[in-house]
Amino acid sequence: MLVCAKCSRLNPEGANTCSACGASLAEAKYRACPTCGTINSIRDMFCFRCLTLLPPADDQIDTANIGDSAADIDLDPLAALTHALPEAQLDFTVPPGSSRPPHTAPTGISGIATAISQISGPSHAQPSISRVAKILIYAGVILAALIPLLAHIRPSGATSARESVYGLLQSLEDIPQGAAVLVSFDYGPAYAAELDSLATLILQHLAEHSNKVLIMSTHPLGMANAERLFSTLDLPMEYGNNYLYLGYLPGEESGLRLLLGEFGSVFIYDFFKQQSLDTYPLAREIESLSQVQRVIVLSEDAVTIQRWIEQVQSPTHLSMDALVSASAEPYLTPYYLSRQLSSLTGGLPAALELQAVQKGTGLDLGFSLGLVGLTLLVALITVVTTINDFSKRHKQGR
Amino acid sequence: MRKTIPIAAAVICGIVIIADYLVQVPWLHTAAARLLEGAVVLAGFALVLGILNLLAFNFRHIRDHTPGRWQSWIILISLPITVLIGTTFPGSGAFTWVYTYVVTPLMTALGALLLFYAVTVAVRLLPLRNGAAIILFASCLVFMILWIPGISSVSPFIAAVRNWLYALPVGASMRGLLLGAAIGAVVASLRILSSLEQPYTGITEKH
Repeated sequence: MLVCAKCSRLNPEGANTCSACGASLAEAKYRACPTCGTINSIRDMFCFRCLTLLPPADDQIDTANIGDSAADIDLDPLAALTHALPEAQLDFTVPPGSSRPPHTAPTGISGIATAISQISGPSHAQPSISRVAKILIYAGVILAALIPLLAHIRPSGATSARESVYGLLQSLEDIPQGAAVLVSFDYGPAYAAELDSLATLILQHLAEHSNKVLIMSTHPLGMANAERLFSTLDLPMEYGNNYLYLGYLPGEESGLRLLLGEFGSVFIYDFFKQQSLDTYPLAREIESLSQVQRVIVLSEDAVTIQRWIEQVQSPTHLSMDALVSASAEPYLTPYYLSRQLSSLTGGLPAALELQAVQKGTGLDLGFSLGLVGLTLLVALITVVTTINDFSKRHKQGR
Repeated sequence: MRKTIPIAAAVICGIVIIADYLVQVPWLHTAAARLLEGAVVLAGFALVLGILNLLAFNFRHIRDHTPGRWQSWIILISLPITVLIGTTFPGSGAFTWVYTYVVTPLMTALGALLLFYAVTVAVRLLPLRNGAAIILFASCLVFMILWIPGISSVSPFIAAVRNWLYALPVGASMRGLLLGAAIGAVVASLRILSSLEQPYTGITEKH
């Protein structure tokens, strides 16, 4: 349904002029979702509210009026995908006065198969997701989330871990006993569940090896994360002597560039007690990055690690370990392959493997089973959908 | 003059910072450090400005009787309390308690939904019968399987596949992306330094 740019009247797809004011619909910039009625940009591929596949922009619409230029549309991959859609599958027939197409609930086993197929099947033929399909998806996700909590299966024997885990272990072992380490907590609470395990293992290792730990963050909530984590750990470390909260460093690249100078000129007070850094023995002993043996950055994204490499690692040639979220790990692979990063480890799976390898025990398979469950669910949806789609076509062919 | 001074300031600052990376001159380093300190102070002030904007936005909601304004009340009450606790009792357990038992669970729950949305979108793209959609879905499945902890113990072949994927297709494509982004950054920097682009004035000259 095209929205008239002049009077906002909803007009059917393919109309040239508005049925209310007669204005040309070539200038229409918005269209209504045929499933839920939400107004989307004419360039959108999916409804932002219900994710229904929207029909492609009509060829008659003057694309020069949509964005800054027609070239913008050609550069938009989603718009390109929309144009590539087969026209035969884009028949949205919305009855007058109704915002939803007629829908009959399927029953029995075929009903479930149809419901599953609606998740990944031709959503433009039956745009709404049935209640059964939604329940199946939510149940699958909840099950995958509950398995790690309920199933604590820990087989005996050593675990084989991914290469990056052994790389991190080796990198940690290379830190001399009692050396100073700068740890940056560059992640917010949204990634705490994923990165806390890695952070805990790192801090425990550093405490066991009597390393001096300076803690900072370039994330506004990073220091609160560090404080929360330290409060839950019972580490044999004394504040001011073995570890020190330097604080939050704003300014992204600019802030990190300043870190090449003395810590005292960048962080005036510590984060914990708001006292001058000079009052702490550790700050008097470790005054700048040149006295630090290793930088460990825990980050939720790849850009932060890139900043650290550009502004700190490259000029100082310090060894740097990156512990990142699983989604950020692939982006940083080139830096690891070129040895700008001593180690690159990502995600909770790596933390579980690290824990198992460090302690020489078997892996807690609860999380693995949850992930297997989720993968199987997606695979099941795909298989059922494909079979259902195939049988429908076969029947139509006959 | 209204345009000349900001352009001159931007160009001089940019050249000083770049020169500091390239040559080792003490007075240049001092000048660059002062400029960077200014940038850090501005970035810190931007946070304060953000808080003030948040307060003003929610005040407007309450004043205009917008539906759902009770959420604005929650923000206006909880924000000063949290700030007060954080600034008057630094290092106390109260702030950590708020962060541990309120902020972290809420943000973690929202973050966890990302996985659900990612899988949903990958599945939803399938009906396009499009090569890109199939590659997206297949890679989603493959990486989910390869990401399972301890899967290397099942077969050394799986570990080899993962290493190959990371070293070759992923590594190569990321290198390409990084090179493209670097070239783009160089071009954008040159345009700003030569004042062809003036994002700080909101004016872009067409050339």
